[in-house]
Amino acid sequence: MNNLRSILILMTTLLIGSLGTAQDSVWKRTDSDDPYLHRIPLRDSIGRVIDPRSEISTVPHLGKSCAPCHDVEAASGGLHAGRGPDGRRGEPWILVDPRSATHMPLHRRDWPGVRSPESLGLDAENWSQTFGRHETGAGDQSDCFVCHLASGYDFSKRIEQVDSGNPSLAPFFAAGLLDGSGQLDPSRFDSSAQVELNLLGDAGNQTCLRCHTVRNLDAQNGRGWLHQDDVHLAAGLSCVDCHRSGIDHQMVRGYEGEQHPSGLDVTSLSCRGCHLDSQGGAHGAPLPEHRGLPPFHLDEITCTACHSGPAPTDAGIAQWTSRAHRLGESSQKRQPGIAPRIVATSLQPDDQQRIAPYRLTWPDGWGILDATGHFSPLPPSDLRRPLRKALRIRSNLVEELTEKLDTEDSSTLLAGALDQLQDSLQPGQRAVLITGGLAWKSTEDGQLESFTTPLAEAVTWPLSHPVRPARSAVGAGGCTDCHSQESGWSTNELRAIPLLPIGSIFEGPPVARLAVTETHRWSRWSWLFVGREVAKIYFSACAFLAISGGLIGLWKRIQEESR
Amino acid sequence: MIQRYSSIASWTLLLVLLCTVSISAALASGEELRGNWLQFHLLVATPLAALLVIRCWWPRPETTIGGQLAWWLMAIAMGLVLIPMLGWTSSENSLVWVEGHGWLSLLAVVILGCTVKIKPN
Repeated sequence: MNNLRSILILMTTLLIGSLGTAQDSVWKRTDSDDPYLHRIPLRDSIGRVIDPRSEISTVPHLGKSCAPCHDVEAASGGLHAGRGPDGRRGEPWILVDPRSATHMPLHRRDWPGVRSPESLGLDAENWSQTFGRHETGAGDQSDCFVCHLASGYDFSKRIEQVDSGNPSLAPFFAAGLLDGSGQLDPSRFDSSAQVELNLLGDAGNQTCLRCHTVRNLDAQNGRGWLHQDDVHLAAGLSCVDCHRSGIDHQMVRGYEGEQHPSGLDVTSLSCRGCHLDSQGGAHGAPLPEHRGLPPFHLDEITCTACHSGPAPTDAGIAQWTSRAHRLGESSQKRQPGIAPRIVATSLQPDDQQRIAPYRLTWPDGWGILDATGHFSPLPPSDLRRPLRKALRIRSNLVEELTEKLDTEDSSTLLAGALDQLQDSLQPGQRAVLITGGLAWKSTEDGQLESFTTPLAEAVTWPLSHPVRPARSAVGAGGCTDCHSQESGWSTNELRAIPLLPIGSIFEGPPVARLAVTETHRWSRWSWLFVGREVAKIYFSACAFLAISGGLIGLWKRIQEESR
Repeated sequence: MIQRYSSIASWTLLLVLLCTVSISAALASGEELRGNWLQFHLLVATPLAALLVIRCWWPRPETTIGGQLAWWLMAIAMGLVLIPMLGWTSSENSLVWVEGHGWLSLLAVVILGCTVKIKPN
């Protein structure tokens, strides 16, 4: 009896142990650095292999096609799919609706200044149709191909399909597996109904740049072509060398102080961790000496402040980003000056009170301010009717209002629109317009009156790329790159350009380019650097003369004493 | 001549004292002298550098070996701070030189004080 009990306990232990082993062995892996050639069948939504020559028409399902070998459930989550902790703020999505002059930064994450999708009436379907084009998706909507298909992915086709409300098949259209009529292309399949796909864990930087391109515009807000690539990419690194993840897609963001959801120490994947810390140095990362730079600069200024984004100029640099300006889509409509307006660089204190570079944009839109000061933006769909009624606008508020302003007063016009919105509000609620860094309400005499509120302030997010090499960094030209009266960028301010053409009636509050230094002290300090080179010569000469003279004097004194 | 020497000596001592006072903002290890204190320090150090040259080349006749050593150490301390200033070391290591400048200057002031105290008269 005792033997039987022992055998049962032993068998149970072995069974439990084997479950763990089985769990690990479910997913096929080559564990080689040589990429695996994906020659695989496509599967439908219930996991059946699809034969394109079969007369039964079936729709492929990406998750089920990948699932036999990969943990699709884990892969379709993680930070990259919008899950996990919010972490440091990133680029918001920007809802642009010219009909209602709405330009509102929003995100599903709880970041300062950004609105939630729900507050602007965006449900999951609306969100997908508005922004899904540049989002890898989560769960069943995940598009593995967009990041992992190294060749043959047509991103424009993806955008077309997602915009038309067909996100689940978008990867197959983009990969050319479905033709224009939505039928599987038999020529892509071999005799055993398998398709060859160049799928890689690291499919190259171009796959990341589909959604993460940032393009500097020139002084006329046109496409700049004198731009530089990120120094890391130019040196042969790939994005995922730093922005790593496992199958869980908890992508390392790479900023200092990042707490990775896995609990792993990812310090060495930040700029400082790789280039300055003793445990860094991956990929032959050079150890910068920053000769002549007082060390507190490295403590109080982030690496990116000098090395990332556009080099500072007197005016801010307007930028296009993939997600905000639909880069990757072939279009003739992407003209200079199109919304949304994103500007770089403003240097502001980060969460550790170090100077860091930020991109910024200003919200524009209509909303309700209640008695407690809470602002609720009005979704564009709720604005069309009242704005059309008040402003006699048909399709594009910005364009049509600009035309009207030739004959009418913008203040009266917009105050009238606010009054129209006010009619449908509860007591204690107030219709407000947010634009140009200010909030506006209508007065009793039918004019616009502005007031400042954090709700209208610029929304900012840190920038990190492209990284410029040492020779192009701020400071490569010496201390006077920052500490001089000529480096106007440090004292210049950025001002919001309102989406609505009401620039003639107001000037919004500025955002400082360097929002961390007292202006007077900064100016006074800058004067010291005027004679810095002369001072170096002066002190060097004095030191040489004093040391040599002192040595001679000491020698003479010793000789005198010894006599 | 003696009067001129005394005048130079008095000014030098005053500036040494002011320099010593102004570095007190950075005495804690690992801190750098910054901002208004650094401006004050440079303001005082500029004439002091010239006076140090005079003091080292033309010492007062009654200066002792200890006194001469103190002035020479002060001159070396001035030389130390030039290493990071001229970019001859990395940013990370520059603090070592700056701290060396501070501590050597202080040592020189202490020696100078001792020589004054033991000056026979």
